[in-house]
Amino acid sequence: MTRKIMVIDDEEAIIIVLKASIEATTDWQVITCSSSTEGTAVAAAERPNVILLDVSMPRVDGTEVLKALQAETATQKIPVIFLTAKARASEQQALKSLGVAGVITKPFSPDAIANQVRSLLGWND
Amino acid sequence: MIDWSNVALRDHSDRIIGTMSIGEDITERLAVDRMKGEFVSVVSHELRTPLTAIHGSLQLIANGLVDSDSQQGKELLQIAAKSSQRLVRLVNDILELERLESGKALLNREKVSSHQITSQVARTFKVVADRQKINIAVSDPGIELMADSDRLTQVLTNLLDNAINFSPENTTISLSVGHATSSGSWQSPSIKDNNASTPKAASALFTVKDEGRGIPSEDLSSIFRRFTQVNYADSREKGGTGLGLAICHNIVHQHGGKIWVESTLGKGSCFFFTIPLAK
Repeated sequence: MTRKIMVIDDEEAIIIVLKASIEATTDWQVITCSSSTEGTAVAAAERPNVILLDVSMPRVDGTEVLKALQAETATQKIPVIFLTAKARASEQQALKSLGVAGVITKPFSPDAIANQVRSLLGWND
Repeated sequence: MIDWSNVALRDHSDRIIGTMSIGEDITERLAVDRMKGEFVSVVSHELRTPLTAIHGSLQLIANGLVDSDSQQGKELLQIAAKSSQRLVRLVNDILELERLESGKALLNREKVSSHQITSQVARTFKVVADRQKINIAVSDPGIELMADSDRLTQVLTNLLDNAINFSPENTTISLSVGHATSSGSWQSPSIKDNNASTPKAASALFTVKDEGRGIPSEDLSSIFRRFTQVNYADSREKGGTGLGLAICHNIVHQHGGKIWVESTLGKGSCFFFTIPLAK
């Protein structure tokens, strides 16, 4: 079964690079959303296997999107991995405590990003 | 907040006979530390975002995951090029602001005519304004200033750059210079910076007025702070770093002037600043 990965990031350039990185190294299907306000609705409709969620986004940031995902029956069981440029240990710890499957720091390596996701979620494929 | 240091006082027999306590008010130090931490966090985020795009794009091509001659490869190279420009602008602005705030960038003040500066800036922006069908109207009688002309040019460049970026086609940006005194027109703006020292001498009042989308009233008071952009997407779409107005603020203050903005949402913004006249 092909995995479905959803990326929510307001930076179009990051979405393109992330999608290209995952598609070049896996057979996963990548769906993207550049609007944090639409993220929950898209996730509910698409039911991805994991959501890579940017933290710093305008209007509604990643932590608020996470709360909305956790509150919605259709999305609350979908694992979320934060993707963030916040590199300080205290910031990373605060993000991890919100109930996500993991945190990946930007810049990420295109070769390694899929393996980081596999490792955080315990996927063997 | 008080940080207490306690030391036991002992007699010749090493018996404790009292304590000496020294209390230090560390409220300000903690506030500075917190501000530094926030600044590092924001800078880290602002730098890492374009760096991620550059690093990822180039790695995909360099590692052979994407063919550089393919459509996708060309798109990734464009992303890397655009993001590197953003990174260069950001690093330049961060270093510039640091130099200004630390006092390392000393002003080279001399007598200069405002007309010399406004005409040069208007000339610089003519090509880009024409391309975007925006008219730049300059009204400047030529006022003798005591100013660092390069720095003053930098302020006007930042303000005009913003005005052009946020102006729709077929609109006019007005750049004008007039006289202002300490009891003059700059005393009654809706938003003033209270940190500035009041200029004793009469000043020249510069205004840069656009017919763009305007600034929400709740954002007016923070617009001159570092990394403040009304819309985060602006940093990508408009190429701003979020530091341009902070640099303007610093330069104007170093001249002993004030800078402020008035704006009506949907109708446009008007930036004002004062520079002391030559004596």
